[in-house]
Amino acid sequence: MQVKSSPTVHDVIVIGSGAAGGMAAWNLTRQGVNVLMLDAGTRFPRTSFWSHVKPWDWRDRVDRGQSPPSFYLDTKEQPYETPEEHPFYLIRVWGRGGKTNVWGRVSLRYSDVDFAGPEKDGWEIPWPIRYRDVAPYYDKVDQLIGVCGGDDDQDSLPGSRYHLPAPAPRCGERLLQKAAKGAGVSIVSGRRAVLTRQHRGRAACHYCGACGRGCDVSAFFNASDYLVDPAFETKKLRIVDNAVAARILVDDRGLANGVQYFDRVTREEKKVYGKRIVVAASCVDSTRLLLNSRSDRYPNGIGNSNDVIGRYLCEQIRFHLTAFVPELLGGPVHNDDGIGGEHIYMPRFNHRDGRQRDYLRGFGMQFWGCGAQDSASWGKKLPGFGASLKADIKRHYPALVQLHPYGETLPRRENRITVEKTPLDRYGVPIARIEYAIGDNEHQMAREMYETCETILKAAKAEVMPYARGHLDTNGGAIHEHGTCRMGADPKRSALNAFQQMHEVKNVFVVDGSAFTTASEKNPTLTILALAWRATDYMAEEMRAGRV
Amino acid sequence: MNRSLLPDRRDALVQITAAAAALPALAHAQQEHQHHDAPPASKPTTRKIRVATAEQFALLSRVADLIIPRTDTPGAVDAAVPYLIDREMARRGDGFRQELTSGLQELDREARRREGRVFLDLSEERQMALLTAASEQRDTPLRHLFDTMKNLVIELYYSTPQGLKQELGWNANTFLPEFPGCTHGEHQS
Repeated sequence: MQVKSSPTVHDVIVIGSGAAGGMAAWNLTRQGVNVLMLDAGTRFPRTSFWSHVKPWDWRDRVDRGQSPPSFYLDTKEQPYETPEEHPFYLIRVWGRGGKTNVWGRVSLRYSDVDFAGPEKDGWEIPWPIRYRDVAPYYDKVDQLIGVCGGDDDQDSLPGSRYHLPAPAPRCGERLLQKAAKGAGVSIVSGRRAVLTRQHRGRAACHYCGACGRGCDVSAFFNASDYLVDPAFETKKLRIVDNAVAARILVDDRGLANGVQYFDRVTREEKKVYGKRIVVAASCVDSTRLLLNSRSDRYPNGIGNSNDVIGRYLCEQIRFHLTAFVPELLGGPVHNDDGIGGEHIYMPRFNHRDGRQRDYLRGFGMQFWGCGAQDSASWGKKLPGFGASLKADIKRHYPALVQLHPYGETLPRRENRITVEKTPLDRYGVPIARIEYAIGDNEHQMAREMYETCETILKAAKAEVMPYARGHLDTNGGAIHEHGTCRMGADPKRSALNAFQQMHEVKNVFVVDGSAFTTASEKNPTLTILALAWRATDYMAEEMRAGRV
Repeated sequence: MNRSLLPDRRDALVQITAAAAALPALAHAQQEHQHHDAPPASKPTTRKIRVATAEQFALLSRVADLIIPRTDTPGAVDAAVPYLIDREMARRGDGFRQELTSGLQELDREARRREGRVFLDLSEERQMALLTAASEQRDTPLRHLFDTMKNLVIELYYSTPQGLKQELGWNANTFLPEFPGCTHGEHQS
C-alpha cells in the first residue's frame, strides 16, 4: 500500500465540519490562522434538496430512480456495535455541515443549573466553567447565526437580548400554553436557530416546514453555509473532502503532530501533519478516533492515561404523547408549518418547587407536530373503519397536539464507547462499540415526565391517544450524545480543561458534544457552538503567546 | 419621504434572490392553491400492478375501499391506494408480500366458512360485517390482516392529493412571506 503524506505542516488541523468543526475553522481563520479541515464527506448541494416535493411526487420520483441527498450515514458503510440487550440508535451525518444540515434547530442556553448541578447533588463532577464564562459567547453565537425566541429569562433557561422575533404559536400550542399556565406550568416561546427575518445577508424562512429535508434557502443555521463557507473565503481554510479520520499521530515528545485518514472513495491511507489538532467529529466518532489513537506513549488512546475517554456517555430520555384539543375538533384547517417544529417550549422547573424527589436532574418539554401535518398516521389508532372512520379522522385532523419531554441522564462510568475488541471497518480501523443503559434515576424521572404531560393534557381537556406509561424511546433516538471526553477541573477525572484543551496533550482540543460534563435536558448545539468559539479564542491566544 | 422606511437595497436584493430561488416552489404552490378546491385532474392511468395477482389485487382493492370509501370526497380506490399497496408489496420484499397475501386468503376462507362464498361475492353489508368481526378478534391471522390493511390504507391514502389535500384540507409546504399563527383571542392565555 502506498502511503501518501503531505510535507506541509499545517497550523491547525480541524477534524469535522459540523457545528463544532465549522465554528473552530470559522473562528481560527478569521484570526489569521491557517486551517486544514478534514471532512468525512462532501457538500450536500442545496439545489438537490427535495424541500418542496409533495409526498406523492416523492413516491413518483423514487419510482423513477431518483433520490434526495443521502444525509444519513449508512451503517452498512460504517457499522457500530452494541450489546443485544442494550440497543443504541446512532445517527451520523458524514458530509459538509454534519448533522446541522437536518438538525432540529432547538437552541437553548445551558445555565448554572447545568454547569453547577453536580456540585449540588453530588453525582460525578461539575463543569469547570459557569454561565458567566459562556454567556458572552452565547450572545455572540445568537448574533452570528440568528436565533429566534422570546424575551423570557429563567434560572434553567437564561434569556438573550439578541433573539430574532419569535414566530407566533399555532392554535394548538396556544391552547396547551393556556392550559399549562392554569396548572402552574410555564410554557414559553421556543428558541430556534431559524431566521424569522433577514439576518446578515440571509433570507428569512418562508415557512414551508420542510426543514428536516434540508433548507433549500439556508434560512436556518447550518455549519456549511454559515461557518465553513465564510471561513473558506478568508483563503486561510483548506478542506479535504471524503477524508475519514482514523488516528491522531504523535511525536516523540508526546504531542500530536498529524492525522491519519482514509480516502472514502479510494480507501487509500493518507497522512497530514499539523501543529495543533481540533477534534470535532461528533461525540461517537471523535471518541472512536481518540481511542484508536494508540501509541507506546498512550496505550489507552491519546490523552487517555486516566481511562476517562470513552466513558460517561450520556444521551437523553424521551417519549411522545399524541392528543387532540377540543376547541379545534372539526374546525378549519390552517397552514401550520411555521418554522418547522415547535414554536413553544417548557423549561425545566422541577428544581424550584421545593418538593423532594426520588431522582436527580430534570426535564424540559418540546411540542413538535402540533396542528395540520402532512400525514394522519395517528388515524390508525382511531376505532372502526369506513365512512365513519374517514369522518373521524377529518374531525380530529386540525386538533392535533404532540408532547415530547426530554430528560437529562446521569453520566455513568460503565456507559461507554470502546474499540478494543471490535471488528475492523472497511479501512481496517476498529469500529465503535456502544454500551449504554439508563438506570432507576431515569425511570423515576420518566414517571414525573408522564405526570406533567398528563397534567397539561387534563387541563387542556384533551383527548389523549392510548399510550404505554413508562415507555421511553430507544436510547440514542434524541441524537444528543455527550460526555465521553469530558471537561473537568481535576485531570484525574476528566480529559479536558476549562477550554477543552486536553490535560495530557496540550496541542489537542476537543470541541464537540463529547466534551460536555453533563447532558442537561436541553439540546446541545447552541452550547457546542459557544464553547467551540470560546475554546478556539483561547487556542488562538495561546498560539500567539507561543504556548501551544 | 422617510428613508428609514425604505428597505435597504441589499435587503431587497436578498429577498428577491431568495424569492427567485423559491420561485418554482411559489409557482407550484400557486398552482396547488388554484387546484385546492377542485377535484384532482383526472389523467389516464398508466399504473401497472407490480406483484399482486389479479385476484389478490381485486380483493385488497375491495378491502381498501371498505376501509376508506368514497363519500363526498374521493376514497382509497379513487386515490389509487390499491396500486400503492401493491407497490409496498414489491418494495418490502417477499416476507411482507406473503404475510399480506396469506392474510387475504384467510379472509376468503372465513367468508366461505361463514357465508359459503368468497369475500368478493358477498354483499357490501356482509363484507362490512366480516371486516367488523375481524377487527374485534384478538391475536388471530384475520385480525392481523385487518390491522395491516387498515394501517396501510390510512398511511397511503393520506399521502395522496385526494386524501391529504382534498379530504383533509392540507394546504402547506408552500411559500409564505409571514406566518400569522393563532389569531384567536379565545385561545390565548
